[in-house]
Amino acid sequence: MKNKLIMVAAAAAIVTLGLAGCSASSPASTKKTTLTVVGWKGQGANLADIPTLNKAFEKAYPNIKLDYTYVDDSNYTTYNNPRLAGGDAADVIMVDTPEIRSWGKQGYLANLSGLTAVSEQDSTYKADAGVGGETYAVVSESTPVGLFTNLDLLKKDGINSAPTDWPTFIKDLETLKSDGDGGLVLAQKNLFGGSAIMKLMASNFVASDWAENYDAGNTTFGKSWGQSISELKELFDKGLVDPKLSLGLDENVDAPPQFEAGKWAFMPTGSWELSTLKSATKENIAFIPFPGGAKGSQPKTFVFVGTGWAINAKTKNSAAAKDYINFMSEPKQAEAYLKADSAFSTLKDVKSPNVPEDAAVVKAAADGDMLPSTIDDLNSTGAATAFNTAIENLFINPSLTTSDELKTLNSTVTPTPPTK
Amino acid sequence: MVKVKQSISGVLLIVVTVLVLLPILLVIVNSFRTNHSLAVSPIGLPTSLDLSNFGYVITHMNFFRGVGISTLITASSVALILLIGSAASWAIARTTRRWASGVYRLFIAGLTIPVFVMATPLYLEALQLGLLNNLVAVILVYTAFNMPFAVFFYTSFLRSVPQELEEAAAIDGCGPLRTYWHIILPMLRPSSAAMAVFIAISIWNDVTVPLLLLDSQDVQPLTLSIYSFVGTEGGIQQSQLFPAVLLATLPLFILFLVFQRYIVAGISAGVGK
Amino acid sequence: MRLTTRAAILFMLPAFVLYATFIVFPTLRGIGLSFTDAQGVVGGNFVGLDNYVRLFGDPAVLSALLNTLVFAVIVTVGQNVLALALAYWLQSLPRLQAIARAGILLPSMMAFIAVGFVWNFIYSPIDGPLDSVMNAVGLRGLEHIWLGDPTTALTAVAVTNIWMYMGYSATIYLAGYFAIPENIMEAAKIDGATGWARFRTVDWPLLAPALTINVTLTTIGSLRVFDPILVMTGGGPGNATQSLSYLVYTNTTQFQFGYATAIAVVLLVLTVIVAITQTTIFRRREIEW
Repeated sequence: MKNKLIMVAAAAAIVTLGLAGCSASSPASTKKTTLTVVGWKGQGANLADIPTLNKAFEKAYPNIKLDYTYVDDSNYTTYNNPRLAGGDAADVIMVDTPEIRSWGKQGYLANLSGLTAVSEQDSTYKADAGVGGETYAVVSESTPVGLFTNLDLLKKDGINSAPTDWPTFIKDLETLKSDGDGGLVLAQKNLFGGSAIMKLMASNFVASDWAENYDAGNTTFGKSWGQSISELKELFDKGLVDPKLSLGLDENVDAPPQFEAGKWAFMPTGSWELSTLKSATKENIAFIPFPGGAKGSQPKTFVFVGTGWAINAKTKNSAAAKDYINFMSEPKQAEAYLKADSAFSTLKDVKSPNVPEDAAVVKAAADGDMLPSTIDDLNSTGAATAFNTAIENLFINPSLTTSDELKTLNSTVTPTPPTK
Repeated sequence: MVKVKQSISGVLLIVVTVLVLLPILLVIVNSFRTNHSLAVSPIGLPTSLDLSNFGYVITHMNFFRGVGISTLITASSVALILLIGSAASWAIARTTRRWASGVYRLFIAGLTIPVFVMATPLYLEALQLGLLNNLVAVILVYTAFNMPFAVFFYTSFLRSVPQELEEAAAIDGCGPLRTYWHIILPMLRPSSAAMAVFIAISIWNDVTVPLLLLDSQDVQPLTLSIYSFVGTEGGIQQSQLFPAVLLATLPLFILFLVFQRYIVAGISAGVGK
Repeated sequence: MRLTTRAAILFMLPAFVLYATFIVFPTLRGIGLSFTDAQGVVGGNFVGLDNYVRLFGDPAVLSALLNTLVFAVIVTVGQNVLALALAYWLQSLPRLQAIARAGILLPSMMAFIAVGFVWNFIYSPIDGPLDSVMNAVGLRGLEHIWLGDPTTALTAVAVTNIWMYMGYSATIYLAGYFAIPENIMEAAKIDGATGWARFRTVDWPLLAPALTINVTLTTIGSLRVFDPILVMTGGGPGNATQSLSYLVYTNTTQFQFGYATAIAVVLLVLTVIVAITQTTIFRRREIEW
């Protein structure tokens, strides 16, 4: 009587143990191949059209049963590392450049040279898709970062078009400020806003092959970076961005919701936010390249390589895995995938999506004003973190001089020659 | 006079409790609101009783299966921990030899192990033993994970209670097993009740073990589904996060309310009688 | 009751086998990694104590160590003082106990991702509820960028942590109250001991086991703090809220596995030392029956 509860619970445990034992050993009866795929897109707010594409794949390949696992971003390494080490990771793995490099170097990814999709890949992305001259992935998207602009708010304050150069941008921010409206919102708490704006500024000054030269030891964070840092400092000095406030703004709670509500005119982030923002806001918005250059110059922006697909080196379903990657790289599927993220194509015969809100960025791309990301192209896996930390330091101590900041960058971001 | 004082104190306690619960009330209110109205005014009442958020979450998260699996894992693990843990603690508390205190320390050290140190080796071990996607394995792992806590908790209480009852039982000819079952287990009830709550909470909300050991979507517990559903970085949709979180906490809270009667009974029928 | 050695071993065996298999063994294998330059999960070359040498010269590790200790002190003291006060209050009001306890325990039942999200929102420097409330009650000058200021960020995270687990500790203290034999409370009443006097002479010494448990658990828990940092500050601003566990995580995601494990081992050693010192000190004050 006294121990009834524990006994009931223990009985429950025993029943569970029995049940689970049975279900764990249930046999797979069909002779279909089961292909496992893992990615950090495909569910909830990060859909990227994957469920639809997967259904289409199963239809096109009736002999393959697809088992797609979604793992959220912050748990992605915790999930994959042990499985790669144990040799039973998913057959196809969604990867970004640092993962391609790290896992490729350790021999966890299959060499994909010769795959149809690889030969379709634009040669610009060869370095991003592998390490040491080998190709370990097909890069499926190139994601521009730019400035989201609230055209309605600008119009309300008498500004009729989005700015295209630095003096106009400053003037617009001053107008907004004097009318009591929010100007440029930088959510720096999660280290994103500050580094995004700095990289956008840099795209107007820093040479496109800078990353390569830095890793080779041929250049430093020098004059061109100094110009970018001065722009940020100008925003601080003129009171157009409050660095202290920015440090407390959150990427989930503050920046996009505030922008969606029409309270701020400008917000830097990647194109992947476009479709979400569009559905959440009632404002008329545009996604524009960064107006950072001298008066009358064309605004520029940067892209970094987004997701790619790789194959587990120990897969037992190599053929099916290749089918999957090839299928996802065919124009029809690839275009649907790009559209969900408003990203640009990395494959020769795949067209970039046409979204009215990002017309200015598309034009910049056509004019050659869309450059590869400087920092994300560095070889060291810790480069981005070191850069973000150095930029954050500028928000904490806005009185740091440009040359101090350059010194910090040069000493904390380690040049790492590509591995042969 | 005493009565007046008591009621003032009571009213104050309710006020404090409500204050503590304010952030949760915010979650409840906001789960009925749309993304847009949240952005325009973060604090505010829903304009209409919009249940679509809940509907969306329930259908997209496989809610009921998640609840079932989480309940199964949590209940079984808690039962095993209470049973095995109390047995071990009793033996540790009543053995004065040096080796026993060594065993005690070894268990206590387990309280301090950061999960990152052992995540990968644990996965490799489960792989080699063929224990992946196996709910039994998950239950055993949770039992092991919580053993330091159980040993610590039980031993602490056992060392502070009188031993007369056990001695009497021994004189009456009770063997260790019967003494354990008829004397020790009932005596530990207040600790077991409190501990059951804590262990249940930590297992219910854990994502690391299922992330490592449960691959198949068919056996995913509720909290992991939530993490997958809302994501943790960038682009979290508040209107989906809030209902998802409420729905994930609700079953646990109901379990607690249902068992609270037993927990209180267990605690008050405990040592003091 | 004295158990024979054989009986004692049999009683410990199931717990020990599970513990050794799923905790001790993987941990030892994990510690082995800290002596390698592994970038992934297995393999890597043996580098001796290199990771440990590097670690003691790394400013990020040193500030993480300091933050972790400060955080542990704030949380351990704050949480236990509040929880003890709540438990004292609850035991004096038996009729409200059930509902109030369920209420204060509710925060600890939620997944931290939600708690962190809600508190990010509460602390928000633009339109955040906390600042709005402070404005409304006339504390206009005191509004603050709580999570963005290096001097307040760690405390702000600690407050959230305390809010979440206060009810948890209070429940343990309450269980301690129930374990006090009724005749002792009666005797105190007859002696006229009430309020603070009773608390000091009766409750405080008799709550010793609950105190040991609570202080040890909060200390260990707060030394390992991870989720609150991940969701609320990401270790910033600067290194202001960087904790050892969080540093282990960031190094893992940057594929610095050997180094990450070395930091984890430092955390392990630190926690073991603190926990053992604490239990030894606290055990001494517990009353032997």
